[in-house]
Amino acid sequence: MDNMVFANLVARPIRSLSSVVGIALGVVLILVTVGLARGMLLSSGEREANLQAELVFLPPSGFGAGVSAVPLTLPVAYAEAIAELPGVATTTPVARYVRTGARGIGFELIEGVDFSGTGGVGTYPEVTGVAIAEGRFPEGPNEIVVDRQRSADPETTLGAKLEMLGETFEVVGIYEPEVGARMKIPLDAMQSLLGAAERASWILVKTDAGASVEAVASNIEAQFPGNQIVFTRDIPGMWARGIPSLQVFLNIVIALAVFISTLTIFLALYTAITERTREIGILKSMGGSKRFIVGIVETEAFVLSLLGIGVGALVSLGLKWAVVSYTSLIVQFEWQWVLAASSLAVLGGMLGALYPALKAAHQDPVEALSYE
Amino acid sequence: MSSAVMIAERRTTRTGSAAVPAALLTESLWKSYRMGVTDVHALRGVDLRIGRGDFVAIMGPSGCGKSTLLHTLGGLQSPTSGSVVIEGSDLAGLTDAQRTELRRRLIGFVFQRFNLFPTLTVEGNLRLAERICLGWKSAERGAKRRLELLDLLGLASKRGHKPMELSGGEQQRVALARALIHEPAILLADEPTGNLDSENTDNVLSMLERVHEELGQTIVLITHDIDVAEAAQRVVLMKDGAILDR
Repeated sequence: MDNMVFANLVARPIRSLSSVVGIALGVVLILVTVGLARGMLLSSGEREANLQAELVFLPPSGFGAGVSAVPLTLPVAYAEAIAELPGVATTTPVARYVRTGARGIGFELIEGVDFSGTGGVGTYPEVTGVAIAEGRFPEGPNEIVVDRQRSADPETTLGAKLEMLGETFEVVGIYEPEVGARMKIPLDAMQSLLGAAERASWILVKTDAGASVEAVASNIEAQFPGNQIVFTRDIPGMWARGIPSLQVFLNIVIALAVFISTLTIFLALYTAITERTREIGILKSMGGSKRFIVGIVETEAFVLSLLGIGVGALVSLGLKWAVVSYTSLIVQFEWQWVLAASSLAVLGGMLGALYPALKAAHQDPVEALSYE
Repeated sequence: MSSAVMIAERRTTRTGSAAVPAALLTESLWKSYRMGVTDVHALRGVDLRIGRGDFVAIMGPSGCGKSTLLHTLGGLQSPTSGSVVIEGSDLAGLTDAQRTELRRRLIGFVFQRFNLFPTLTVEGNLRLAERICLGWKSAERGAKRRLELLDLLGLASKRGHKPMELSGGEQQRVALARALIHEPAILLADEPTGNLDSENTDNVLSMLERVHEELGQTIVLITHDIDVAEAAQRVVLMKDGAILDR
């Protein structure tokens, strides 16, 4: 072995391995956490974009580009009233509920929608363009339909029964395309189970062909002041930008990952530098400058970081496969986040190596040479 | 001509005289350490002049300050007082970085414990020295010099071996090659045969003599062994941090 950096890494395999694992852990933490969050956001955004309705009418604090349930506070009667306004083709109320995800991992959204069109408003299929691909739409309160991806899970395959809100639901149909929540039950069943009769989370509004969506929105706003009106064309962007509280969480995860990388490299190299005190003395006796010695230590940290990134990326891919295969969650890896995780791993590694490197560079050569 | 006669002849040559330009010069050199409440004087007013191309042995019992003198001559540590001039540069006026630069340019060290990097091969140890002393830009010059030295010191067949795979004598020859890779003006050897048996001692000493003859380096060798000291042209005796005989 001719290269000192690689020779040191090979000569101390356990230390090198533990450093690589530490760095990899940081990379996995960032990639998988962000991947899960982005997967959820982007997937939800894409599904919302499939809505055929042009507008969403919500209570004042009710935009649903998030993972929380939206309380059922909006009177369903608003749907009928809005449907009467000029330029409005039809409306349909929607209720949203959040439950713990399949096998206790993550979370998932369930919507209560109107399959029968009672009350003078349109049905959910009419407003959104959703159609049944297999089976049928629910006809009773304890029936549920799922989208194609959700049906791939044995828990919610066609004909399966699942427990929710203290009731047993049977999967009676698979719908297409993917729109909103992946699981949908009758609106009145959700209202009943949540104790919110005649209430919804929001109302989807489909405008007449050729009508100005902006004009319709202004009119609804004028008629029902104090509520929110969201253009469905804007929803994917809202999801893509994420949710402020989720971003705070991701920032904490990122800070934690950098901390882990920094601490791992710091501990590994601090110990290594102490072990190699005599070698530092030899380098100094040979005329090795402080910059050269710092360079050697930092290069070692850089190589460990690169190896950690490689291992971290592979483990993340493995985890993505496992998560996608065994849960209903989606993991979305994006290049900018892979780049960010890699940069942060290198930054953490280099930062962690800085103090050991400076310590080595400032060692007294004579003391270092006599170190046993 | 026998080696004994050669040594005798060399010993009659007084290259320490002022006629030859000084490679190393010390004046009133003191080095003291604080140990608890006591000052320990490792060097006590050392005046020494070593001419260019000299082969000088510094001899004395353990603890007499030989290694401290060698480290100070090589700029590894600063004197408490007095001056050290290396090839015309007074160490007192140099910063730590300048002393490092001077060491890189002018000095080669050989140590009793060889101090090779155990994880590197013979070739790797030499390449590292090349990189430090010559930089990346002189790779061609370094490679040529490396091959010459490996050949000169009989190590050509050992270039791919790691230090632990070599005998003590071979390891010290690698250390010697490493010290000479950048053609330093001065070679400082601290008990280079202290860890060797007599056969390897003779081997390393003959290499030092050969290097001195063929490459003309100034060599300062620390030893407490009179037989080893005899390899040099001049012997300087030390006791209690002072020079007894120049």
